[in-house]
Amino acid sequence: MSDVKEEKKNKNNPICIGLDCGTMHLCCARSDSEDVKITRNVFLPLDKDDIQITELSEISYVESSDGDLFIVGSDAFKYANIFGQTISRPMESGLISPKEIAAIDVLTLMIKDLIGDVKGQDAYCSYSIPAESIDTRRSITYHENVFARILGSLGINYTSVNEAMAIIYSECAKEKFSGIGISFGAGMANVAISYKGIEALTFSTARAGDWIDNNTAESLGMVANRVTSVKEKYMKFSGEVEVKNKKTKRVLEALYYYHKALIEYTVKEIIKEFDKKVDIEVDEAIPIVVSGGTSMPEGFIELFNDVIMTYDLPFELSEIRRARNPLTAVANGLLIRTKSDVKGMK
Amino acid sequence: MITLKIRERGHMIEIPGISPFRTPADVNITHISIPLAISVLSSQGIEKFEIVSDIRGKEQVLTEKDFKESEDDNSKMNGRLKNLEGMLKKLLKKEASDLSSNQEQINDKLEKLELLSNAILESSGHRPYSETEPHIEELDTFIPEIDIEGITMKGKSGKKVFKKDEDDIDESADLLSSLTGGNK
Repeated sequence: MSDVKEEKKNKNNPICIGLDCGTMHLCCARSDSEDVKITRNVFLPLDKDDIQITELSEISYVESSDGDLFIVGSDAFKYANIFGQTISRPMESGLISPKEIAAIDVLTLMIKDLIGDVKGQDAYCSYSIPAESIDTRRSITYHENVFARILGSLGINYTSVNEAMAIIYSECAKEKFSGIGISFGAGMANVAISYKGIEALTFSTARAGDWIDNNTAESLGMVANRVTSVKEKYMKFSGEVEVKNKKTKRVLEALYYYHKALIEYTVKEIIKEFDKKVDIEVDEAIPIVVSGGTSMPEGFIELFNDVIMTYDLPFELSEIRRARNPLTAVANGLLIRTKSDVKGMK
Repeated sequence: MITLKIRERGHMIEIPGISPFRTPADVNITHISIPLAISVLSSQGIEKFEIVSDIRGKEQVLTEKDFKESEDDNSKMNGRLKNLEGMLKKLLKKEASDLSSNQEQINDKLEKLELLSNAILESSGHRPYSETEPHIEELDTFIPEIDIEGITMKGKSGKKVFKKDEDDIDESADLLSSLTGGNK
């Protein structure tokens, strides 16, 4: 009897999930938990002989019955440096990497671990996908379906939602979900223009954090990993940069130019795409909400503001603001969308 | 010595490498290119001439006919070259059409890949809950099966945790649902 009651309760209160599948991070928000969990979307295949059992207790790893070992998440970075290896990334340029087909099982376990237990419960999940890119020819179909399969294999009902629309859901409730959401991730920049919760335009470009790192590294003859490390440690666009090392200063200088170039490129594309494709008459001023790991450095929004003010925009801009938490905004927005959808099913 | 002999009268000939001369004339052309001399003669319309070579008392006479034959050879050669050119053109055209048919094949395969990968949605136990998701009829062979039997996640979790604003999420979900009618 109690089982029947429990089942009825589950049916009436299904678990809603928002899963942000980013190139650098996986982030999950669940309706039955107040925590939003985030992990690095990287792993490191290791030989079991290279590491002590005692060390393994302190890190997150995946072990197969064949004895294959994969260190996952942030620890993968640490051990990659120790062993002088390159980390594997299940995703590249915002999409599932076709080179890492073997990693799908590892990715499945990472997602399973991140989402947590849903056994015997009705679970609905919105997962993020990028929009079709305007400057590369990569299709998102494979990526979309791999994540659908992963969630299906975990017993979760799913739908895919544009990543930048998720930012609108998370950050633009006071504007009734009208606005422009921009997600500057690692692999891609995603843009969505929404009017009262309806997607008016979405697109992505292949220029984002990795583009900045790779170009900076190439310009200065460095390894991209090192540039990423300097960026995450010291990069800021306002205030004094407390760096004395000349080489690091040079990296920061180059990073500044590439960030500016990235913003300029994205703004130009927004104007171009808006002029070309947006049919609706936007009669009120709309905000731009910026999110994603690449927008994290202090002063990024001010730099964005400086750049956009030099352009004649085809819409009235109310303000430019950063998502309250650029790392979790997409997962948050996806959870809002799932809850809204589930409400509509009742 | 090589001597050019022209019997026709009234021509003023200028062959590079020797002094200009009037015909009829016998001119020493030992030190100039014979094809060059012949081309100058033909450009001036002189058809009758002889080229006499006298090397160690052994005399050899070539007339305009000898060179005409070689011109015939040239025209044969040109004909062959034209044939070859034609064949190459055909070959290039064929390769171009092969390329476009390859392109078509690739497009076909990509379309199939799209259809087949979408088939996962149908074949997996759990289905898309939104009507906007693609529905597939064919089975997929491209996306590898997910098999996590025998694979386990162990150790200390390296996840970062942030707190979310439950009320804000609920209010936003209500508003979105009222604006868009829930499941889109």
